[in-house]
Amino acid sequence: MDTEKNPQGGARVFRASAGPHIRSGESVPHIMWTVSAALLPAAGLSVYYFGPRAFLILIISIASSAAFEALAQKLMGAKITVSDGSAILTGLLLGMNLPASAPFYLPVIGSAVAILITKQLFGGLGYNIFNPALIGRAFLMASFPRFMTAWPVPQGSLSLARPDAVTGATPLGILKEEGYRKLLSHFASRHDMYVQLLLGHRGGAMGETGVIALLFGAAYLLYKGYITWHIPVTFIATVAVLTAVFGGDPWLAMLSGGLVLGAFFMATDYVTVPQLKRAQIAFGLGCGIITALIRLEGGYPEGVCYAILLMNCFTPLLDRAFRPRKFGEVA
Amino acid sequence: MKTNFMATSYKKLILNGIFSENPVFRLALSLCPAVAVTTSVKNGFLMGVAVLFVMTMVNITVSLFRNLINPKVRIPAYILIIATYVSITEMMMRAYSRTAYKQMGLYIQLIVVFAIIISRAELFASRNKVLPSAADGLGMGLGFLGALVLVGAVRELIGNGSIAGFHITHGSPLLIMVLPTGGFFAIGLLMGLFNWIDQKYYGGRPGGGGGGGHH
Amino acid sequence: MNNKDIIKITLNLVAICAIAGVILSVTWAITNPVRLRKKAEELQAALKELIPQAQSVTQAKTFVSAGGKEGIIYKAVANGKTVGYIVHAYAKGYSSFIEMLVAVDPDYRIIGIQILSEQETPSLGADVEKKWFKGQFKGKTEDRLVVIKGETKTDIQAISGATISSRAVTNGVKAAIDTLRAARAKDTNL
Repeated sequence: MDTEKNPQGGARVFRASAGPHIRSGESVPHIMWTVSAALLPAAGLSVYYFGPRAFLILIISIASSAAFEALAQKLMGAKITVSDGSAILTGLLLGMNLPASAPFYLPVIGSAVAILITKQLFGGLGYNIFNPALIGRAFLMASFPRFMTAWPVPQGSLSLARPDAVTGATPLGILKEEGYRKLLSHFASRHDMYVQLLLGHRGGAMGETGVIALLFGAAYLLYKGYITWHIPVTFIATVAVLTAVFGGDPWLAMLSGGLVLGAFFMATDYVTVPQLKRAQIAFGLGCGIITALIRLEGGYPEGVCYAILLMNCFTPLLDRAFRPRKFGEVA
Repeated sequence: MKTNFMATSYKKLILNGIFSENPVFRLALSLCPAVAVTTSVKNGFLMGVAVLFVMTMVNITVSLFRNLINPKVRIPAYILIIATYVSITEMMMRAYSRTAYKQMGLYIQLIVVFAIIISRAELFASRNKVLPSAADGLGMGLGFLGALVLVGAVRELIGNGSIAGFHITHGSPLLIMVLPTGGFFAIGLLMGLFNWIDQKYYGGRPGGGGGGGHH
Repeated sequence: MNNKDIIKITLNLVAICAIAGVILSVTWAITNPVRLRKKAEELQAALKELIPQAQSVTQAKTFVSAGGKEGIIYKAVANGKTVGYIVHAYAKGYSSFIEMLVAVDPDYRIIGIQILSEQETPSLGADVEKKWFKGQFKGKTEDRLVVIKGETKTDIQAISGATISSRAVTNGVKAAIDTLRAARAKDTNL
């Protein structure tokens, strides 16, 4: 069977979903650059907490993503579209998913997997099944578990050296290994814990900790209408409800791990999530259930990344299942 | 569709299994073991040898008895023949090659259900004379063995930093390659490479001169 | 399908099964004694390696270990005196049951441990097979079987990034000692 050539270099289209479509004047580059900008407060906060090393990792991640995108498009003889910002956004998200203590080659390998394998081998922007940044993270997690499970605690230091001495566990890690009581003992009070989590003063991937900055960026995107509430709100609410039902702390569940970053910035990626509102609610629900299951019962302390990736597989199915029927059509 | 093999060379039959109809990279059959056991050259090689033996013997046996087996029960009959040879292989390994057996005992038993073996019995051995059938089994077995060693080499080199047990780097460069996920990566990329070479240098279409019918 | 066909098909399958059965029986008869002999030799070698001064290591008792698998207590004897016990037990690890041998002297001081099989994450949990990790157990008593993250000389240091596997082995060793203690309390000849 001959395979058809993908329309590389042709018009960039998002995966077409069932209509009717709302037309808007927004172009792909505009959206990509705006989403990247919305992530900047959180990225800035991570640089403040984890030092210049965090900044370097973000820059390396972005630069290598852009370079791999250009390389792949050049090799395939397609038009080079780095300036549409999508590779930049992938690089930024990937960098924000890494620990600040990661060696500098980690973001480069992650970008290669994200851009070359996950995105370009599947046909480029609009054709990838999985979120490239998350595949990059999952790949690094499986390949370099030692680096990817050592999360530095915010120091606010200005040193470029690897903060390897303090590899405190993430709050979710402590919760899994030692229990809630032990976790609480790290804070002055329960109230103090929530405030610290909101401000991002805790161990974790550098981009996921600054919850308040992430929420700020997310609010802007919601206000501009670039993302809608359907997936993130369902996702986060499902995790909170399930955690509460099984006797956990729902506020802790919402504020910890990569939930806010994942729900607002990665489970809303135009390409890899359903386009219909009802399908999006199902998508968010699925993400929430898988995340809660992994956190409560799984071997890993955190499951947002795997939850979104698993639900990415269901995207075409969900869009088909919730497709509006034509008048008179029999199911 | 009986073919007269007097004119065709056996060499061509064997090469067919190794290249143009390679079980793993071309027919994409029996990928489960190709993913599961190929974490190193050694494991890939041992599995490949076991399959090579079973496949050649099954093809010979099926061809020998092809006129005695009732067509209505040919599939259960083939499965029984395959299971017998697999059990012999397994028992021999358990007695004489214990370290290898410990590493891959489970997968040896799984050879019974390898699609590539029953498909060659059904498509080739049941319709051809003994010698061509043996050549086909040998070729397909060698193709499978080669593919497993190749995948094993790639995964061992990248995932463990060694080749056939000799360490080249210190520690593991990319651990994921020896995990199951890495098996899919390695096979997918090698398959792509095969197709790319084929298209670039032979202008061929995937499947080459394949006989069709095995999808 | 008529009756003649049915008989033909039946005979066909019966014949194949009979031939296969004969071939398999012969192979089994030849290979099985070899297999059993080698298996016993391997176990003896592993047991002797743990308590080298033992003249004989014999099976004394069986019990139910983790995951419902059969655990075995061996007694090591030298010059008519019990020099130690070896417990063959399982522990539930991160991704597999870890099969191990735990050797202790009659005062329950650990002589050494051996990991027989595991399917933990390569170069992470699978490092429980590394010498430095297994060696930590040597000479320890049960109250020192505590997993610590970070440097420790007196307790068990966890493999970094693989606390679950480290803890599984440590708890498995502890459980093995407890089982032995309980068995000896019940049976004074043991």
